[in-house]
Amino acid sequence: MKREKVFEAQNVEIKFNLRGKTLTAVRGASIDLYQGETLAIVGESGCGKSVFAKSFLGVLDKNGWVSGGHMLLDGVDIAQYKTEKEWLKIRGKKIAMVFQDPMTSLNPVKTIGEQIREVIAWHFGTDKEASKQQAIELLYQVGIDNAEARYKQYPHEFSGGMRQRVVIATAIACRPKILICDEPTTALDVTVQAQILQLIKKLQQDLNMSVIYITHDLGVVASVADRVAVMYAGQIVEYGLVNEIFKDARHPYTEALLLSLPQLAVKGSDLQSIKGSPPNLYKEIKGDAFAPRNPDAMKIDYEIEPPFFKVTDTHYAKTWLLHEQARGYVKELSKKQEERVKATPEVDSGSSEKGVLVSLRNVTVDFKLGRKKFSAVKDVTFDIYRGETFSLVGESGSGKTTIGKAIMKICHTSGGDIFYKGKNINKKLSGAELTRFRRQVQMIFQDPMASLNERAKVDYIISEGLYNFRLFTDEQERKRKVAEAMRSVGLSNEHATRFPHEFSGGQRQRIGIARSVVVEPEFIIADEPVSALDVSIRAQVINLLNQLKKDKGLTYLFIAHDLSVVRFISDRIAVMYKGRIVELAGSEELFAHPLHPYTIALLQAAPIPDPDIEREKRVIAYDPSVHDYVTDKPFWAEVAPGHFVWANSHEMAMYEERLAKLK
Amino acid sequence: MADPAHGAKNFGTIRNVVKGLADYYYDLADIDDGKDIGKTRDEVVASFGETVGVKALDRYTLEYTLTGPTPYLLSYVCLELFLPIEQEFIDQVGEDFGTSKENLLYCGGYYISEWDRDKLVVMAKNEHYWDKDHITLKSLNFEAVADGVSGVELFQRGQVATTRLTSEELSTIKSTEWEDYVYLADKTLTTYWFIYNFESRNPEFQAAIQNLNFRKALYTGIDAVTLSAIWEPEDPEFFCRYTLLPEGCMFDENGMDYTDYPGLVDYKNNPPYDAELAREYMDKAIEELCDADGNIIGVTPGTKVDMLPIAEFTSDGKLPIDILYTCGSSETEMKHALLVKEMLTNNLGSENVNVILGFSNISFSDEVWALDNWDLVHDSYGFRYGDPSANLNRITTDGTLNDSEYEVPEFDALVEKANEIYTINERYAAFAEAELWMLDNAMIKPYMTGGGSYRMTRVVPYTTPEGYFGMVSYKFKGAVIQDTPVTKAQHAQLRKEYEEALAELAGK
Amino acid sequence: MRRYYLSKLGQALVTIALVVLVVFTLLRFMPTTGYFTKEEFREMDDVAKNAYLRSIGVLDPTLVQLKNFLVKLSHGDLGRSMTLYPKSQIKDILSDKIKYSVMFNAFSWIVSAFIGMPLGIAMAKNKGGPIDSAGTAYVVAVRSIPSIIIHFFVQVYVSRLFNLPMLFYIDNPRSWILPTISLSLGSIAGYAIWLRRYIVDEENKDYIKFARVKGLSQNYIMVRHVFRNAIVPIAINFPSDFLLLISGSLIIEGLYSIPGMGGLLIKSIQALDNNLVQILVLMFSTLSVFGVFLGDIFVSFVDPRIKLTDSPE
Repeated sequence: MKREKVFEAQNVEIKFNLRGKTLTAVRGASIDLYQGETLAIVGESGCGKSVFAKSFLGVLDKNGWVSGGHMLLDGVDIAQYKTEKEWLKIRGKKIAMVFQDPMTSLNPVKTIGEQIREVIAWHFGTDKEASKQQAIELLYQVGIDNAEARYKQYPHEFSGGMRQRVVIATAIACRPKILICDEPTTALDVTVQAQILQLIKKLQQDLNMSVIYITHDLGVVASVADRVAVMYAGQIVEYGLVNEIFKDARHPYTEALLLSLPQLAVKGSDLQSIKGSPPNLYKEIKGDAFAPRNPDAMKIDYEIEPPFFKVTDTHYAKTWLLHEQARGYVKELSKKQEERVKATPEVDSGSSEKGVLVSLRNVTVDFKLGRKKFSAVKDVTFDIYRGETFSLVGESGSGKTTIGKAIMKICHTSGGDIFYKGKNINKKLSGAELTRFRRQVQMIFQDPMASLNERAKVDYIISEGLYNFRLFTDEQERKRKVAEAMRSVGLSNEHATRFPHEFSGGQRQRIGIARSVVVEPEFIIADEPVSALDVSIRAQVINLLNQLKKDKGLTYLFIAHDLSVVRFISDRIAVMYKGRIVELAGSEELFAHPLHPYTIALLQAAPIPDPDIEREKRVIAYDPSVHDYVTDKPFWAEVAPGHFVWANSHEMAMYEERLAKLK
Repeated sequence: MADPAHGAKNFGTIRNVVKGLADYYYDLADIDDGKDIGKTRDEVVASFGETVGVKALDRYTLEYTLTGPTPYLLSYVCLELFLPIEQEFIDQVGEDFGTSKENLLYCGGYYISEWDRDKLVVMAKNEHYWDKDHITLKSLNFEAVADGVSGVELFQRGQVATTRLTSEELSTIKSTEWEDYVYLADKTLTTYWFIYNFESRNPEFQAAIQNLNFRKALYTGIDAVTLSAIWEPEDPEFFCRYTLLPEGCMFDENGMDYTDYPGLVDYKNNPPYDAELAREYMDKAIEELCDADGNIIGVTPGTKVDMLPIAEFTSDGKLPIDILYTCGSSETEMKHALLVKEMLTNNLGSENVNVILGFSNISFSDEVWALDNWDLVHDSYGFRYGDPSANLNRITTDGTLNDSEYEVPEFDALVEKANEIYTINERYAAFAEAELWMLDNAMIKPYMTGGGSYRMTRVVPYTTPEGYFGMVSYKFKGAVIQDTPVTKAQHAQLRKEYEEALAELAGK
Repeated sequence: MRRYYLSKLGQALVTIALVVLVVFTLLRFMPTTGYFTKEEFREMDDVAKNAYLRSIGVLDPTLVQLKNFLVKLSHGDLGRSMTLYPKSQIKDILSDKIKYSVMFNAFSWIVSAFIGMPLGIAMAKNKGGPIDSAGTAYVVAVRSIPSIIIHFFVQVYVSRLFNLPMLFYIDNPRSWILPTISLSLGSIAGYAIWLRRYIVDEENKDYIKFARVKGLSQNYIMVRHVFRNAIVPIAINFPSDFLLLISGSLIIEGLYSIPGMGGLLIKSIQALDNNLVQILVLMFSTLSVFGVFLGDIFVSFVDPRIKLTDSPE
């Protein structure tokens, strides 16, 4: 199936001026785009993928410019465009773009209708009434009901997913040939993400568009892409059909990236992680940019930049491993890899029944918003056992963080009991009791940047808990403890005298973890600890958390929305929906036999980095109205040993039946 | 005016001069206070024509009946309090009297033709004025200029006829062509003096101040020139005054100035400052005041002196004598106080006197006068009419200005006697004797005159009516304006001519 | 919505009433010695002093005075000044003075908006370029050099240079120029720097970037998106600015001898002119409170995210 080429970028080089220094963000990247296809450009943050895509529209930040290469659209080299007038013929009309965050992509003080209408009016000179009609049609097209009324509404009256639909409607308003989606679903919940991806797919077919996805999420890539281009340090290092990339990756970076995914890892073992961090783009890069992070790099990788080698007609990779002289070495490597997989230890399943550490009984948290009351957490009951990793998953706003805060005693509760080591802590504690409790229970936050004091040195940040709880007798002991904590999270001693801003995101999260473990807690609440991190860094931190758990006998309450991570790290998982736990089971049990329709929808929606599975997948939207709870009241019950679900008696019978059938 | 309900603040000045006025005033004040004096307010007001010595004889004649002979009446009636007003007019405008140009009456050379509040008053020539031929300027514009620098700039541009300068502004035009145009305005009748608290709660000072030698030590120990230089660094001596009453405003039948009367003239011309003499007086005073061990006789040691919020200290009954010098808290006042402290400490000896400085921050009246929180202050008084009684009557034992609370029966008797002499030469002689007594006994220490600001003008000096009493600074009859500013030399020349003319006049 | 306005209005009225009451009471605690000069204080006997205090009406009990004040006020009688402009009707004083302050504030408002806003826009568009640097230099100069020096410079040197009158005269429009310039220098800087800042903030917003990729032109975006949003935080002050046009500038009115409202409150407090102080406080507090109130309402129309309700929908 050979389709028409609609766009071609050749050897594009993009530079930025930053505080007097020149940074080369894109170093000769090339892509082709064919009619009606979906191309995904994958890479970690800072690899230049967004900048690369923005240059197709001439919307680089003011300090950046295209310093080389060609971009051919309809036979015209748009890389040569200088004036705004020239670009205005392209933007919106031929190439459109959708940004990551729908919450900020729309002007908050204009109606959404107006924001769509103005594009139509601007590009086609359509009169007001006609362009309004078209805008309303577009809204219907992106799945917004009652579009006439919603036309007049403002962005804040829409949910995140709905806003992204509006943004997409705006982008396709002029029937562009190419739609660039820059992380279009990263800011959305999984279930919403699936819907948006589906919408884009549908629109692509309807309008016969070519779509470029810019993303770091390999799950999304597997689900949507026809072809994939992997980007690293400003270069495309490998490209090919989606199956070729996922099943037969040739570039060591692509391989490492795939291996670091928790979905592909074996539970209980370490995730494959990529050491180090991406290269400094201010400096000239010699040889293969990935070589310094590649433990199996060859000598030539450090010296000469590899060319693209052909794997198949559609699959190319920029690595010396494909050179004929490297064939022997490649064989050696694959043998090594097989051994590595074999050497994986057995799953450690001995964590069950070690006694209850934390126990919640009918905990409810109500908030007041003006005169309205709403329950962030409704009647939640569960136990966390000593030494296990217990995860709470759910959409944003489902109440999972609130539960964490309630256990930390930094959020009031409206009812219920929370027991820690058998003692009810959901009441006023004495000063000494509270201090002891605070030391034993620590928290790790999502945003490592925001949770560290920017003005304090790492030494002080880590020591803070020691000072608070007076956990040392002399300066020497404090220093020893800090050094010990830093070593345990993989930071070296010399880091102690630096400030947080000198560290990368992953290192900052290590500091955050060191700060928690230094006071020797028993229980750690980790609130989305890896959500802000890149794939390769994420793997490092997940490994670290698992290592610490093993070494120090910690218990985790892990709060996350990323099901792949949760599955990998958790012993048991509770699924939350609108303040209520709808299902709770052992990790494998839950993934194997989800019962509650919401759980099923959630698991279905989560993209899996396997194009074969993704292509077959049907997205099921959860509709709470399937439950008939008017006469038959729901309750919390154990449907199988260790497997709880929120259901009424009728549903319960159904679930039991289904379980029996499956097993 | 005589009705207390109108709240005329300076009414006290004439209250006792016109027959029946004081009774009329106090009767009404009593009624307003709710006292029963057997008459109603309306009755008292109605009786004004009979009881008070003010009568309009015909359309142009007003008769004042006085409480007694008043030889200085002429300098007195130019006070605005004596000006007559038509009853009909005042009834018509009521409370609005004087609040707009229409609600005023005019009888002078000018009337207000334009009145823009806080901005401009334009006075136009009164064509009905009896002496209108001598009104040389057709209109006068009084303009508000908030800032001195703007005033100077406006003068330099020729947009105003006259302006004042502060010392800072003077320094900015130093050594420019404009320096030659700056002259010092004449000193005023106001006299600055030091007074002592004879009833102080500070026992050391209270004991010491009764001693004549101590008072003389203070009298000779403070240098007026140094203090005057704070305000007038250019010519401090010119602004010193060593008599209680001002010179140049009271002349007897022979044209002799009151301050040139025997005795007074010695004070007038001889600055009293003499550090050695002061030390001698101080030594004598200590001999008389203290026992051999330096204990002040009659003072109980350890007395706590509570003069808060000004000062608080404990008197040890020993030398040095504590003196609380109280003043305001402006920069010049503080500078003044520090100089006084330094002079007294140096000249009288730090072993003898200990000057404590006290500063009033909010209200001098409330913090100092009302609470009697002072030993030594400097103070100033205007001089309202051309007779020595104007101020000497006010500093008798019962006088309104006797904040010192001294008892001076000798002086009282001398003043009383002088008040009853109605021929000018003898009257002045008697008053001079009384003033001399005060100075000889060093009850008050006069040291400086008021006035003396720097000015530049285009109004030819001495073309307008001169004089010290009444609204002299607002008299513009005969004023001549020249194109160029008046130079120092021109000013000095004209002043000389004026003084000569004055002397000639006196000679007649 | 209506309920919200009413409750806000009620709050505003209570605030004003409290301010007036507090000021009224505090004024009565001032010692009456302040009504006399040093010499008067000692020269006048108690009878005369009392008579004077009674004549200006400060001897009545506070409550009686408050009652009189309110009764008179309800009849539209603002009373008479006591000491600053003895016996003059406050109504007359204010009507004389307000017109000058309103005139100059209006001029200055127009001038600063018409110069400051374009300057701010130009600076933002030219961020980092020569216009931006020049504008920033201007703003820094205006903000860091003591204003009195700048005003003097304008009054003395600029008037010399263009042969303009140094003082204000109502019948000479040329004399209005310098005070307007002096009044505007600061607010031009204010408008320019804030507008620049808001525009630069706006331009970095995702929705502006999105508008660019939509293919809208830079000018269209500037007018329809950036400027409109950037003006909101500035516009919130418009009602207050408008109502407080009547408050004059102490320094500039003094400098150019404009008989406006500048410093009137200060002077009346220093003179213990209770009647005048009360009226001024009442007036200024009313205008300030309503300015904020109107600003809130105004913004609720401009920015749809702000809903003036006391309960969420």
